Amino acid sequence: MRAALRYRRAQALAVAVLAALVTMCLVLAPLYTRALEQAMVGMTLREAAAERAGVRLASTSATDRSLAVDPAGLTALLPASIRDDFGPPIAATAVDVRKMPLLGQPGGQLLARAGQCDHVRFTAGACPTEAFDVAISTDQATAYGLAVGQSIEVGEFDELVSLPESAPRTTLRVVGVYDQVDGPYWFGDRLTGQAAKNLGYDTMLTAPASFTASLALPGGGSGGWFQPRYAVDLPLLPERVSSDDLDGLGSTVARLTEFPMGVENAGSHVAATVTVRSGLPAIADEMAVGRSQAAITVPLLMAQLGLLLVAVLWLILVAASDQRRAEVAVARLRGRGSRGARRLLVAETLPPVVLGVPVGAVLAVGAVSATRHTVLAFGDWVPPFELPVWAYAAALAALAGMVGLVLLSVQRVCREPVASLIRSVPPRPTGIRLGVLEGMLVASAAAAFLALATGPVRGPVGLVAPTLLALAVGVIASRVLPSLLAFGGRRLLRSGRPASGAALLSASRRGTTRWLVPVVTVALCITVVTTDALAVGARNRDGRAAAEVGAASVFELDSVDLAEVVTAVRAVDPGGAHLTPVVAVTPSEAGRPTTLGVVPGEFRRIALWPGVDVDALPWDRLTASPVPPLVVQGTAVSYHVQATGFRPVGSLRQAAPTALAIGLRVVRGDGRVESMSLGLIPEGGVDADQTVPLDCADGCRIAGLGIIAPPSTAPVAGTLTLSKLAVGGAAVDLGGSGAWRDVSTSDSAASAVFRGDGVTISYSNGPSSTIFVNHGSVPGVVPALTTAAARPSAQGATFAGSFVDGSPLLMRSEGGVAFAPGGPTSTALVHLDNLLAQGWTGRGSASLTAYLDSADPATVARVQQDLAAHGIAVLGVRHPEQLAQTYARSAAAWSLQLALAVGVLSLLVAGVGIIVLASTSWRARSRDYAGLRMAGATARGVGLVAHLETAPVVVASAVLGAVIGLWAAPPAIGMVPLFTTPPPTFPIDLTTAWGLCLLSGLAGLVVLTVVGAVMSRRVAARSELARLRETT
Amino acid sequence: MTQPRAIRTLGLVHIYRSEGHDVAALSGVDLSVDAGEVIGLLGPSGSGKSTLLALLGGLFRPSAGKIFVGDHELSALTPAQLDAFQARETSLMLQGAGRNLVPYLTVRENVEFAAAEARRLGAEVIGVDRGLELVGATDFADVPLRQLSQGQLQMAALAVAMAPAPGVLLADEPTSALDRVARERIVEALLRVNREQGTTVVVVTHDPEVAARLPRTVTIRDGRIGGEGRSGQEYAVVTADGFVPLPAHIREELPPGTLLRIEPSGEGYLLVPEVKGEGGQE
Repeated sequence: MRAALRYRRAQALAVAVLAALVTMCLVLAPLYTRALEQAMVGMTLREAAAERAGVRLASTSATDRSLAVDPAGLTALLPASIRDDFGPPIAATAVDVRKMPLLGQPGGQLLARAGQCDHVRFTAGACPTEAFDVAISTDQATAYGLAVGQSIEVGEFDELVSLPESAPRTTLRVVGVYDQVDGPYWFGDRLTGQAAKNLGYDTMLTAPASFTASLALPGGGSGGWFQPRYAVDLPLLPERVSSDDLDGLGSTVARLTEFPMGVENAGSHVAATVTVRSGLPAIADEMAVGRSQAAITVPLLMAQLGLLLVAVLWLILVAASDQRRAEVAVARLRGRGSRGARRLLVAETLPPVVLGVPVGAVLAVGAVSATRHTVLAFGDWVPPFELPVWAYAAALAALAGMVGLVLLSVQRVCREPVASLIRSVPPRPTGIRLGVLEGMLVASAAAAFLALATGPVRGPVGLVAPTLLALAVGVIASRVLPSLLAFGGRRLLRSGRPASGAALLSASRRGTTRWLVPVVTVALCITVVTTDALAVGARNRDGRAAAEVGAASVFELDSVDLAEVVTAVRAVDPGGAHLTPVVAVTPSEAGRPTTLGVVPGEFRRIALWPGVDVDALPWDRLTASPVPPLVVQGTAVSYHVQATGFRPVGSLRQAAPTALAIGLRVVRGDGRVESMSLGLIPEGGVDADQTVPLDCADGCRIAGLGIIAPPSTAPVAGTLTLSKLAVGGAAVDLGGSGAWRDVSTSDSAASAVFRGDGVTISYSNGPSSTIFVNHGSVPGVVPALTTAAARPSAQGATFAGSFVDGSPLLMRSEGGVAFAPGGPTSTALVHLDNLLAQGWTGRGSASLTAYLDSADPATVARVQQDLAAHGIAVLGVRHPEQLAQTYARSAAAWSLQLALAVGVLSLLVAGVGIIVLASTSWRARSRDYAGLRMAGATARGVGLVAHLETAPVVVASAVLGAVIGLWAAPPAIGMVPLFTTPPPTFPIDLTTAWGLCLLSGLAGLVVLTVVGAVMSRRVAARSELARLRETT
Repeated sequence: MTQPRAIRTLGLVHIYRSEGHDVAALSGVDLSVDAGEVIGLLGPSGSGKSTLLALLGGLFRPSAGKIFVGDHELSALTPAQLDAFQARETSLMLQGAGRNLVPYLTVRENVEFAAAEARRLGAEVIGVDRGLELVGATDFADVPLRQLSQGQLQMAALAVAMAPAPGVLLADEPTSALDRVARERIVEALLRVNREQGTTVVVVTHDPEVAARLPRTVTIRDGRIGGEGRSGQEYAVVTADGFVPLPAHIREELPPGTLLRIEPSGEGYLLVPEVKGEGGQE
């Protein structure tokens, strides 16, 4: 046996290498999947904020403090089965307090949290250790003029009950001034932020004794705090949680979240006082999705390579059997029969296969170890190495499968009649007819591809669709190509080109051609598809990150004043060439879209629009009102009013008003909207000059003019004429009818007619107490570009958008956008000036940001400084790259990264296939070439023939494989999950990465052609005339 | 000593298919070879001598007729019996020494390999050293095959063929592509095998010099036995159905269609052409 292996050592080596690669593929799948799972879980838990990965149990009672569960009780609620997964509990007790005498005074939180002083930095004083000693924040000390040694008299202040007279009270002594040190210890709590804006006290840290010591009660005597809040934070210990544990941990925590006191107490009063907060159930769900994706994508990717490897291994084994025909004949001649011949062949071909299995297993372990330390590592943490039982099963399956292949491969030669075996030239199948096995292979591959491409089969299994197609086409091409080569060869011979003609004819009759075609076709197809999968995955991760972040850099601004932000941004970048303000108003009601206020020209240029033809969007319709704002300034308003009186409208269910107020609606400089009375209209009418005070010393923008009726009075209708309107002595030019907009609803209306310097307003207020004609600078309907989720059923239809104060803002969709950069799924893009015109109060839910078109750190830092210099602090800066990196650290992305290895290995395997095929057929080829030499061909001519015999087959097969890959890649990749969760806004872009695909296809073509050329050259070099004497 | 086997064929016909046509390689061969005899099969290329040898070796089954080798009627053997027959009773030396040898084994290992199956089946085989000595291959018994000359390879092939101590040795062109010295050694070895082991030896050859060294030769022509030579004397052979092929030089004078009158004449017979054929009938 050793002599046999030594005799064909290159072939034995090739078989061993391929067996090792097949084993590696099979073993790598479970190993990599497991490592990927562990990496995903480990990284997610380590990356997650402490409050998301940990558990916070909290308890309080608004009615009876004895119902609240103290920290020890809360800790005991955590099931023992998961207790070891968490670090030591961090107990905390807090109450809300206000400076006495409570009402109108600044308030804050009094907090005692275990170990708190180790997580703040004292700028003055020390950690509070005695009851009612407190450490205050630096901002609080500055804003409220407090220092170490001073006292604050506070009382408990319940936002809901608010009973100043009965609140427990005490005097706090300031013993320290701190700055919070950010870290996981705080579980996401911010202690500061209020005082800096003069909105109240920051959290005051105190000793636990402050919550057990007696307090003075207003009526005399003493007692405790009314409504203490208890909490226990349990930080997760990620190193204790493996991928296997996470599901159980997540479901246990989910149960705890739902029924903190146990199912038996659900709904009880006690249970209601305890709440549990944790992101673990969501993390567990996310990981489960990732695991299921990886468990399919990884094996399928490896299966493609495995398929190619098995095909190449099979052809090598068959070629090896063919090569041993003479030895089999000898064995048969000496009476060994077909069983003896089989033993002889198996004894030669099986050992390399068996040897390859452990080598492949070791290679798989090595490859996964290398991946763990590079791709899957997270900082210093490396996912643990595990050998799942599936890895052993895969190794055994590889061994069993390849032993089966060996036995099958020797079958034909061993069963062949001896008379046939002793023929010098073995019989070769000819014609384009497929064998039964090949026919079945082609049919099943084609059916599988069709089912995948058009049928209900979805998911990562789509990755194998192109390979199946390539296999089917490759097998058919291997039957067709020899005929084409023969046809071409004959034509070349006839046209007087003997070398080329002989080469093509020779290629057409070589058995190796039939094998070479499907191998090269499949390899190139895999290379192109995996390249496209990688490119499409990376492009979509980047695109999604860009769409979700919004710009190269997005500054989160610490301001609620839109006008202030716009001013600061304009000061930093006057032309808006690189920096633009963006405000996102979160809807106060479900179903309404988020309003994204932008400066259209700047936003269009600075925001990131991956995959969107931004110039095709109807930006020209996203306009602000053309009517300039009407601003008045003064402390008194004078006018002449003439009104004929008013009449009740409809049935008198309510008393008719006795007088109406002439109403003026204004937007103040700080954005507040107010309706002011300019004087009364008695029931019988009025015709008089009037002067009344006006609270517009700092300037007011007029938004409407009309009447204000007393509340709960019957609807009325009438007319009034105002003229000679002047504020602060200056006449007010109302601008005529073009500057005003009538209002009309089903039960109310107001219209204005302008004559000279006067305006006549006809009104009917309906059930509302106010009715105004609106100034044109405040758009009645705001034009918007809407995402699909925000779009009304018909373009041009109006819908209720979101305004910062929670009120609906009437909008009209002027066009659609695929997504709004930085906005959620349902977003309406509007002109920022239209939001300012409505009156921006800063109340409600809105986040103010500035988009910058650069991610250059120096530029970002400079803009940050400039914004701060203009009074706008930057809370944080987001970049798409950060988010893209997060997406890249997902099961879907990691699974796709394997495609790179699969693509490279498939080329390598095809190269090995070419080498082995050349090695096994070299004797016959060199004998043929020796014949040519005998016939007078030069060495160079023979070399040319050798090249021409291989190159057209390799090139044609490679081109075929690349074309199949390019054609089949988009539908196949469309079935592969590119993300753990699908992008909510960004539309997945499956466009073929033509450049990279063509490049990889070309690279594959060149590599395989060069390998083929080198082997041809070597075969041609051995075509001495002595070869002609060889009989085997 | 081996157990020499007699060979007898009766009406042996072998037809094979080539390019869609049936071709008769042998058209009724009746041949008897005594146990322990040495004969040469002669004839032009394509006459069917190699086919006959392959049939005697059990490589093909005849289309018609019977082959007896010793007590075995080859057509009646099952595949397993045929394997055992090939392992113990007969050895076929293919044309081209290399085709008889396992390339990665030495001569000694090849001999051991060839004897193994016969030994397993309980046959009394020649010892390896004896086998090598018998054919004169002892000197290069442990040399890798690639280092041997063509003549040495042929000796090795003969040693391998003799390893199971077969009753019949069938050698197809054992001296082709050899120089005179090597050819002489091979012929000597074949005769020694017959002499010392008693093995029945059938040699296919083109070479008249080799044929001259053999005590009996049978010429195959057009798939039939065309003549026989014994100790340098050529004879026509009467077949079982009474046909007598004419010697080649007489056939040239008697074209197809010639009518002959046959008359006893002393100890022999006289062929008298009465009407000459025109040659249009073959």
